[in-house]
Amino acid sequence: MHQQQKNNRPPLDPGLNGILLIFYLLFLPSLLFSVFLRKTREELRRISSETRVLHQKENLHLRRFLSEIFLHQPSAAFFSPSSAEMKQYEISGTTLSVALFTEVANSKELLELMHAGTLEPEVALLNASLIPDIFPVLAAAHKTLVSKSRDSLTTRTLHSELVYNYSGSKHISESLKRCGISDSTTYVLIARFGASEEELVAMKTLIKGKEIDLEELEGRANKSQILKQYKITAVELGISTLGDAITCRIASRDAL
Amino acid sequence: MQSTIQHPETLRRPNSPFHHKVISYMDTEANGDDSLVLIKQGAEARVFESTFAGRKSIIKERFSKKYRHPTLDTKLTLKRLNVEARCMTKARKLGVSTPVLYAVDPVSHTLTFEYVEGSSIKDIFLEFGLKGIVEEKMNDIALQIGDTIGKLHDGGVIHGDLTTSNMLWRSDTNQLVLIDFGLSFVSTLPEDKGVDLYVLERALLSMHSSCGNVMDKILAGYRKSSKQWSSTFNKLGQVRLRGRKRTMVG
Amino acid sequence: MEMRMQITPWFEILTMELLVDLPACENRESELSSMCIHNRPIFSTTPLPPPTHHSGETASTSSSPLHGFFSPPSDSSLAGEASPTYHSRRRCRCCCSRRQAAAAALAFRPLPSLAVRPLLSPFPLLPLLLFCTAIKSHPTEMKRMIALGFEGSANKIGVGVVTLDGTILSNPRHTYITPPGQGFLPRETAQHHFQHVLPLIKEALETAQITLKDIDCLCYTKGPGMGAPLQVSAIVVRVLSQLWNIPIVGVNHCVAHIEMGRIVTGAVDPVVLYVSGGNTQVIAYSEGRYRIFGETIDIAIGNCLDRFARVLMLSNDPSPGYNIEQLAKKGEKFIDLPYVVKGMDVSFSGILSYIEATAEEKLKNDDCTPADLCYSLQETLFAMLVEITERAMAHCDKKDVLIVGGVGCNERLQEMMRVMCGERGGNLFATDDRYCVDNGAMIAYTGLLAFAHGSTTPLEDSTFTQRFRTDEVLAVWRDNKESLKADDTVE
Repeated sequence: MHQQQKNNRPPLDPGLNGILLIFYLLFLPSLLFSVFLRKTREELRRISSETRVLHQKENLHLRRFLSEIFLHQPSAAFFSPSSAEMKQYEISGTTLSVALFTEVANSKELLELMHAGTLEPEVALLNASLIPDIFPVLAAAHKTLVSKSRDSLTTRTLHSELVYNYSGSKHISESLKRCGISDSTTYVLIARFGASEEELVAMKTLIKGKEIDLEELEGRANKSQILKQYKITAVELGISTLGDAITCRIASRDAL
Repeated sequence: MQSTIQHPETLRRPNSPFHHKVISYMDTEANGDDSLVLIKQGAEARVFESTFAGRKSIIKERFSKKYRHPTLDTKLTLKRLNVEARCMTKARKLGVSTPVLYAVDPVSHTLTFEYVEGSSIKDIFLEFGLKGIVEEKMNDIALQIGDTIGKLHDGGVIHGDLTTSNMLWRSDTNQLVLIDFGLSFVSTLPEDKGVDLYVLERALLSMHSSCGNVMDKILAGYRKSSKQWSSTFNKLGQVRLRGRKRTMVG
Repeated sequence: MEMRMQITPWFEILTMELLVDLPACENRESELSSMCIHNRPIFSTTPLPPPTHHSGETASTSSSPLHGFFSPPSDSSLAGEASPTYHSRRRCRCCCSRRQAAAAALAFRPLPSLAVRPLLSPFPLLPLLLFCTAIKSHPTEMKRMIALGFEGSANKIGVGVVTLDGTILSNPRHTYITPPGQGFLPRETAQHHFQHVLPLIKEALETAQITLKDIDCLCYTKGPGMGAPLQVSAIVVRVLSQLWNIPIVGVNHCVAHIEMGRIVTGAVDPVVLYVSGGNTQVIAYSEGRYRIFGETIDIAIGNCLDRFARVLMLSNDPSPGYNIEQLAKKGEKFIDLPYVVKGMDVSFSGILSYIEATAEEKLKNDDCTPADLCYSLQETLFAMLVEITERAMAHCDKKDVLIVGGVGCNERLQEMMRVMCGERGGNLFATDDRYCVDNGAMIAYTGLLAFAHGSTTPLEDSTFTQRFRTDEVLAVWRDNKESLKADDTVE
């Protein structure tokens, strides 16, 4: 069969040639680019490991640049239908789509929709000032998916469970209030499990605000509020980052 | 126990922009969450290497012990799982470095931790035994062990299983990391602290007698960091005596 | 006090009998005259010779050969009972010659209160002693190495005859059984041993069908154990060594259990769980010694079981542990008990006091039966033992387990351990009650191993001690034996 198809193909079919041409034009640069990216990434990692000063807050520009290159991997950047800001994470076989918004104007309406259960698509809205890093959110998402797979959700929906789990506390209503959004919240992290491409677009339009990069999380986090919410001590910060401390609280909540 | 080779992909530091990694469609295919590599079969748990939300991780599965009565087995397995999660978090609150806990699953009896790059103190000491002691490193390690245990005890956490195989040496920051809190408990009694130190002393004697008197260095470190040093040390003396001079008549 | 003064201590009786019946002793009179007990001649008819009289013979022993015969315990409950001994020992400085030492070993008054009327009759001793002395001749070359071993560290007195290849020629034993609800006390146990040791020696020699010239060494339990019972075998060995001119080898009781277990089961390099009435240890061989990896930090497992049996008033015949095991087979309900594992160590006292405090109440309220209690206690205690054994196995990378000691006979413990070993791809080696329980053959065999590697105990060091750590013994025979074993397998 293969042989036949090959023979049947006219050697100078303009249509096929055109397709090939388009293919080369489109994909060759991106392939080369990705090779280049990988090389530079390794190089820069080496540099960055030697010069840790670079990662301090005053070097925000450089950090942005680095994250632009490394965190937006080619595949995500090229094939994601939405803009480069929206991110997809894979957690035990399910994707979690996450975007960060500031200057959010419609949190009151969002809250009302959520209470009415008519938020379309259903998303988790987190108070982003409590999130210094995306990793704890992923840990909470993992925990949520495990409960879901065992039909043992504590809250009504999968996405409210994510907010609840992120809180690291067993008090449900208090958790949703603190880690979710309130009428006046302007800085919001939006997340959805297994979002289709249309839903991704819908997620963006749901929120009236300015979408910013997830890398801004650390700089914008409200440290004192986090320390209070998660009961993090000063000595703990000597051996741990804020994000790791939160992750531990999230993971060990049910063991306490 | 753990490989000391550092792959660039797994090199992580707090505060680095590579602290977390976005899992793209491409990456998940190559290295999904489901890939488990058994790296150690311990006495009561299997330890796997895996990835958790893009980070290299360790999964520790406590398996049930068939020799035990089922009721006892379930009780012990669950108790130790929860105790480990709880005491690890508590230890971190006290400023004791432990692996970051990623997830606890009481149904499958698993704990997921951060993967710590480095070798165990047991391996380091055994190497000292074979190739001669690097005095500077030895002092650093012993001092950190003492300091760490001191912090833990002052905070009322008893590790319960202090052996050199339950201590790791983070290779990039040269920092001691305590693991395996399955036998830990909360207590402020000098007796429990003394026994905890005695367990360590015995482990050092039985395993690393060629390394010289590490215990004295450890106790020196402990003395510096613990405020309740004297009562604990007195108790340790009593516990030692009890151990060595045990008679037939209980 | 008055009573005590009148009663003649048993060892003085033994000494007198022994000396009276010693044949062919040329200058007995002078020796007897120099005999002293606490600066007091046994036979007051002859005056005390000056202490320098025998200095030529005992140049190496500047002080009393009895020096260090006891390791004075500092905090034991026994100390109170035995303390007058140590006081009087210091005054005894004039026993010099070897023969005198033997006699003085007997005459030496370790436990003044150990004085018994029924023992006054010397008749059981006489025929044996005559027999012993009569058959003794000069040592000639040996075809096979044979040892006579004495064990008496707890409530069992045993005499064993073994050869170096581990063949047990005879191994008689007698157990001191107390009424239900009672444990064995040092004094009564020592009396029991004293009553039975001589018939046992005779029986052992007769069964083994050997003559005294075949015996290469006399082995005895040096420790650990209860002071008074240990003393019996130590003294017997001192006397026989002098009578027969055979070297002494002191043996560690724990090591003896291990070596016996190894030769009987053929385990090469196992992790050893040694569980008995007085000991609970997880031991493995490393760098020339048997090192203790885990042990109890308070009471021993057997002690815990025995005391629990007393709570239930179970019979002590054949042993409390055996009766608990039989009763546990009928148990169904599992009762939650404390479970205390600390690293590789265990603790039993908490469990014992918990069960002592709650058992009566529970039985009264019909919450459970005595069988349930036995069952739950066994399950909990043995799970702890198996767990620490497994930890030690993981710690020192060994696959096989050997269970020794009296509690090692328990089939439930063996079954649990077998399951654990199976999971780890190793084998369980366990022995039955012939070898598990304290016996003379294990002492003889271990002593013979040491003797074959050139290790003997000089008379003045042939002491006993209540505390004797397993890791204090240098296992000289292990490395050589390993190569021997390897050769055997090649053939």
